Amino acid sequence: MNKNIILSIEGLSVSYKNKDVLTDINLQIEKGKVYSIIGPNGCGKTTLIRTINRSIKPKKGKIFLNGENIFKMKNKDVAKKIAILNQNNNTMNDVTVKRLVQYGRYAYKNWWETVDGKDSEIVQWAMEKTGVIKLQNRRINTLSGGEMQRVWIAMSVAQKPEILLLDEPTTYLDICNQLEIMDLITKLNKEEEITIVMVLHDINHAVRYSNELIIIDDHQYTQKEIPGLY
Amino acid sequence: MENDISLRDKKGFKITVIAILAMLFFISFILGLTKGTLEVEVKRIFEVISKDDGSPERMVIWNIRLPRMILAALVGINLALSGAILQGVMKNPLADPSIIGISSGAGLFGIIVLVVFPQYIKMVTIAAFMGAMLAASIIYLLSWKGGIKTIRVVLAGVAVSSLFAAGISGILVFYSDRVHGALNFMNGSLSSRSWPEVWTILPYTIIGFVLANIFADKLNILILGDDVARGIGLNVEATRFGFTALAAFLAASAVSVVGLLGFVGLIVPHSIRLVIGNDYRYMFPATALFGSVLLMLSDTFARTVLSPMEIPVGIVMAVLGVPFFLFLLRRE
Amino acid sequence: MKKVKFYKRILLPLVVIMLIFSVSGCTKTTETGGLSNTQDLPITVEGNNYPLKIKDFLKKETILEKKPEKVAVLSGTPLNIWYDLGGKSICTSNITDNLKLISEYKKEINDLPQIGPVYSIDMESVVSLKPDLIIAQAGTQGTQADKLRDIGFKVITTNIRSYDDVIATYNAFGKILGNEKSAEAKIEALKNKKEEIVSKLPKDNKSVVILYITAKTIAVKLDNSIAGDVAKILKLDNIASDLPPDTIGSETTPLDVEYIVKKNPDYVLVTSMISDDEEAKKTMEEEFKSNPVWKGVKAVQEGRVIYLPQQYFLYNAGPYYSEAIEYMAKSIYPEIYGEVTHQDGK
Repeated sequence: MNKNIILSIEGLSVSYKNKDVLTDINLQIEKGKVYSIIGPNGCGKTTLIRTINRSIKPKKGKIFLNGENIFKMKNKDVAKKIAILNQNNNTMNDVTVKRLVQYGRYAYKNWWETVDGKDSEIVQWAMEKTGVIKLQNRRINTLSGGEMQRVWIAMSVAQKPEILLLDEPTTYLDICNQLEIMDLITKLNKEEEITIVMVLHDINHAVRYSNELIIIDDHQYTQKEIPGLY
Repeated sequence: MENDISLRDKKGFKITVIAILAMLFFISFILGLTKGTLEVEVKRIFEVISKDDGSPERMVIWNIRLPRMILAALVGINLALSGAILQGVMKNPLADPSIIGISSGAGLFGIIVLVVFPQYIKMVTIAAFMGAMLAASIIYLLSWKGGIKTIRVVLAGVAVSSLFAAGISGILVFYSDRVHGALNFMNGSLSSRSWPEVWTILPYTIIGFVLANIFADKLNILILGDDVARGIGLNVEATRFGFTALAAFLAASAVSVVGLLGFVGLIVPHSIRLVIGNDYRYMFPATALFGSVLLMLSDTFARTVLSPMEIPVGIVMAVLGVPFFLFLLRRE
Repeated sequence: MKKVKFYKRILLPLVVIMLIFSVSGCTKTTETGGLSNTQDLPITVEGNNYPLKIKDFLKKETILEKKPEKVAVLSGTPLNIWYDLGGKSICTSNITDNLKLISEYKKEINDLPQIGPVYSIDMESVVSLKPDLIIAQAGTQGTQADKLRDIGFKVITTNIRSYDDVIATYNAFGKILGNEKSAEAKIEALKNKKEEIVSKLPKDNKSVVILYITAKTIAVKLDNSIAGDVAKILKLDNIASDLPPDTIGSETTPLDVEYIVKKNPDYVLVTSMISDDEEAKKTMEEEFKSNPVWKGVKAVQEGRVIYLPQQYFLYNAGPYYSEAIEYMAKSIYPEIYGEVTHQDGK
């Protein structure tokens, strides 16, 4: 009965570019579980993720993180709890992998502080966890698709979040990389107890790797539990 | 394979580039001081700077050339930094201060004073500065809609700049007998600038350079992408606004003292990026140095090539811009 | 998207540059046509009686069958000379304080219908007055002159900058008005005054620089400007004499202040765009005081600065040209010619 709700979405309605994309969504995300959001294209999956990330302001409704309204929280405070892997990452930047993962520590530093010993440890740990430690001195625009996804996840891991949002983490990868990423996500959930909320286009992956499915279709949504995950 | 770093990434490389630029800075500075209608030897330069011996060299160096070279360096720094910031904030490698209306704003208000009220010539600097900031503010407000999207800034910029440019043309038609004086301002020139102009721009350069470098990492994170930056905890709107304002002040202070000098804000940061990459912790100092070097050399050239006549340095920059654009065209 | 940005980056600056050049091109005309050569007269009239053939400054020929009755003179200096020789005009460009009109005709001229400022006349007004002859200024009204010619009017363009130009114009207008005697007398008077002044010149020539300061840019007037011409008549050495103009036919050129320091002229003569002479002097004095670059120019530091009034040196004084010569002579050699008295009747 006492579910540990980490993220509570209440009465959320979002319009994007003058269209009503989400209407009156209510979701309770439990700590430690893996959730997959699936649905046809354009149904609002990405919009939901981006609203949780506060890139979009909802028309109506609230989102609570551990009981606090995330739209009233400071950016850095939210970032210490929620990390995100976005769908399209075209960046002008060409820093090294290590530097990018270091940026994940931004939320924990004041502007006059630089990366210290503890941060470096966490950065190393994040890179090991995601298997990119060997790439640490490579420029990020020389990496392959699969490698880049791992690096972004490494950066998110360095934030030491409680929730990891992923928007179509495997869509542009080949099958081998897809499975590797899914395994990594699962590992992070199990070993670091990170709650996962991800948008997937592949229903098979969704069923295989999640505790619960959130199906969004034509302004309707359903939440369905999947018994017996691994 | 583990240390598969390209040359550009080695920290040592970037530092070397900066060191080379610093050397070029001193060389161009001293070079500029030696050249002119009065050729002065390097040794003599140090002598007359340290002591007022009443010689003609002292007269010329201290009152004319020294402040002029310093001004060239400062303006170069300001415009280059401004361009570097805007290219990051607007995510457009071909952005420069004119995109936020600095040139048209400074131009309109400067021309109004110059041509319509020439007896208030002392007010040109202030008027140009206010005009620049006004244009930038209008553009920013117009493009605000719950946040700033780059495309809206561009569109607003084009609209406002066109309007102001029409204003400038209109004034020049009405006062066509006075256009002559306006042309130097429209092109950008260091002619007869001296210590007063240096003191006007110096605080902006110092504060701008310091702030830019302190917060360089915020800009690095911003250019990872808005969503990513937000996810890491950056206040995207505040960072964008802060940097844009900084860029506006840097550029406005520069064009208000030398006129509408273009191309520096575009060529310099873009070139530096090709060599040193996007990391603003290195980009800013490198860009600042290169900007000042370019401007010092260009102004020295503008003064000496047709001596004793002076070409406005803005024209030299425009001419340099052409091969630069052709080079970009080849690379596309 | 990148390509579009790229074209905007090329087209926009190109267009702006072209704009600047085209604007400068059509307005350079205020100062065009200083003295071209001393051989080429700006205006000549063939024939001693009507019909007369007139060759004007822009080398166009106009044939007048008989003396024109309704004449439109579109700018100040030729208007002055025209009235001085007994001619009348049916209109005038806007009269500014800086034009010294012949006192005899001042009221009459001020009562004439005005057709707009010199550099922007209202063509329709001119056309509706149906003049037999139009006299326009080559510099600012060249294109209008062509258009009026196309419509069918007889148009003469003048360019009066130097002393020789003034003489040539008196000669030409004298013939057109059939008043050669008067013209000769006036010319004689001008010549005599000039020679009287020149004869008293001391042996040593002083050197000068004629500044035209606009907005912190230093340009200097060349020999083909009014001030330059007067300086030449007074045998003053213009340090900018052998410098090329900034565009074809211009009478100014930009100058590095270091050159002025190096040449160290005895006097600095100052002209500017500011129409009120008092304001101009105040503004210039402020500039000389506050800008350190002038510290190296001895003439400025020692007060040997002369502010040239616009009515003599920006606008050609026509009938009063000898007064312009006198003004400069008095300013430089007060011990010979006496002190400058300030003109009234502004």
